[in-house]
Amino acid sequence: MNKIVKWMLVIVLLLLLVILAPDLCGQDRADLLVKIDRYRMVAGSFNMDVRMQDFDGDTLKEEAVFRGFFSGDDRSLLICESGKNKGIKVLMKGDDMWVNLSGSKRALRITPMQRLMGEAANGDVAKVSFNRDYTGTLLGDEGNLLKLELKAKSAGATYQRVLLYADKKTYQPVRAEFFLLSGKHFKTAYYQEGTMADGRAAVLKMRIEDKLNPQRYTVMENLNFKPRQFPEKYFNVMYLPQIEVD
Amino acid sequence: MGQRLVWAAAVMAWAALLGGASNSLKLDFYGYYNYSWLSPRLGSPWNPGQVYRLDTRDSGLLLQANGRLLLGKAKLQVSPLLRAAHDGTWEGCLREAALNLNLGAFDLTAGKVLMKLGTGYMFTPISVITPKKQLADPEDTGHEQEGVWLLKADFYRENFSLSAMAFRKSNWHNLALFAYANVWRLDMYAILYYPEYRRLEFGLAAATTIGASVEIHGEFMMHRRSPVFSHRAFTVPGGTEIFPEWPLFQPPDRCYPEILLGTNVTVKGVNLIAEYYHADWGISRQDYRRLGGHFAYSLALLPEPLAAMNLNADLEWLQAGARGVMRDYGFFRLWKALKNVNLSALAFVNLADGSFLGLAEASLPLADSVSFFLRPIYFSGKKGSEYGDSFYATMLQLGLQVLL
Repeated sequence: MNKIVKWMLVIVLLLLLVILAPDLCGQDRADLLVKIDRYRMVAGSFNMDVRMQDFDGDTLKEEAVFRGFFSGDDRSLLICESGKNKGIKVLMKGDDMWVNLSGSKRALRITPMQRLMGEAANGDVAKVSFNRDYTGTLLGDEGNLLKLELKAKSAGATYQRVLLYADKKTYQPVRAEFFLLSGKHFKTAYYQEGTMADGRAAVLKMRIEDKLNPQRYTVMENLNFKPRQFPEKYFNVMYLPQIEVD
Repeated sequence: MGQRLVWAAAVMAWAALLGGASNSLKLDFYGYYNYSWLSPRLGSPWNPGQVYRLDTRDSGLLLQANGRLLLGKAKLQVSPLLRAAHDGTWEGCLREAALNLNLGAFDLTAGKVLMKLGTGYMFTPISVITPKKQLADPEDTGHEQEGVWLLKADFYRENFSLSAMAFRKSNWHNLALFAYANVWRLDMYAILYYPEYRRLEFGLAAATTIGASVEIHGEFMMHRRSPVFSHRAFTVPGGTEIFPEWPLFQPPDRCYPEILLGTNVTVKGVNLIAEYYHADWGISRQDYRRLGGHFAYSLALLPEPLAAMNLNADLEWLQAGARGVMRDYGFFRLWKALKNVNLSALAFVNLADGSFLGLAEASLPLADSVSFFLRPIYFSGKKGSEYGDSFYATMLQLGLQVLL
């Protein structure tokens, strides 16, 4: 009888472990993702310019500067100030995205897959918040780097799976590989360290490689960071065609 | 028109002066040139024996300046437009000219404004204020459309907005109240419209995304008067059709629903837009045949181009404000971006008779601000169908767009 009780206890404990383990691990990984995101995401509301340079091999094919308005709770507005897409406005709220083409008088809702077909594809990589958008599993170490597998929390996320590499000691992100729902490896982002105005280490530059066309890559650089509050209407899709940046 | 241009130029000059002082003037310039080869349909019942000498070449040049002067909470926008036709004539107009006051959550606007509402790509039933769309360029990237004169007050929150406006069609008695809300990842729109013929109309629209690659949208507008005329014919015993002296008439006031259902799907790098459109005031296939019979009858009585001209003017009346003359249409568009060129193909299908207009486009960016396009257009259908009877059988357009 005693033996049976012991075995039952062992089975119950094992079952509890199986049931609770993912939650416990998830909690640990969430903390880790918060630490990694600190290098990339800035809390609060701020204004920032984003310079995007498209390269084909060593040749600079295109350069554009976007004026960016970011609100800490996952709202951003990008307005292209130069290049062939001058005048295009992109509004992102969570997984939702609207585009107002240059000269057009209304904004249209677009799907995550549509984002991949246009210039917004790299913006999508840049705006990803690992902690907010993904749940993580630690796969192990690779030298000085931690390797995590991230799964999208939402079916509407552009990238359903990400392999993320971060420094083991500082948790600074080094590289992220983005995969589509089909399992195709679509982009790889390489994060480069910079220093914010307050002296804090941060990722201010990013190189995004297109895995379908390995010759081509984009360098995104964050410039002129300024904390700033915006009117609510900046994030209303009906107001998008009217926004003028001073 | 000349007066308006002078006025526009004066306003721009004034804006430039102020802009120079305040450094807050923004100017864009847009240029568009197109050349077309047109191939008239020899057997078109609307042009029997080629009574019309249709042009086989066409071209157009459009120049537009868009100036926005920002002065504190005020914004002045003026967009003069110049068009040159193939015969060398020039026409000028103001595309937009408006003063906007930004008062926190409120905005006030007065002037000529190009407003677009709705969720559809080709069709937007709730957009009672939007000018008619061009089939080849529904989003008006060619800057062909003009605004309407209006007074508008807007209230904005992040996920909600309310706009009240009075605008001019044939007079200023057109009032609309338009609401937008973003709830549960759904864009929702509602409109109350009180037009100059004093019947309250209403409309609803919604759009959302499902998963990673599907967007769906729909619109419904309940009109109380047909925006187009109908064609009258009587059939007497024995099957003979009789046409009255004035065959076009305003149909009786009743409810005329206008419906759009559409989707936007992206699969393997190809974007597909499909839309179904219903306009309750459209004529039936039988009425369309009667219209053709009426035309042939009139031409037999008066075998002169004048008769054809009158009836073709009538046909334009039937089409006014709508895409085609019948009730049910489908629209399909495929789009794919390649390394150096964007390719698209669209079809506009009359669902009653199966005839369609097909268009393909290759758009090639030549530089940051210059692009070139090539656009073959094909009208297809059986004899007696809407696009099978069209004046032209094929067209080939090429164009150059410059945005500075």
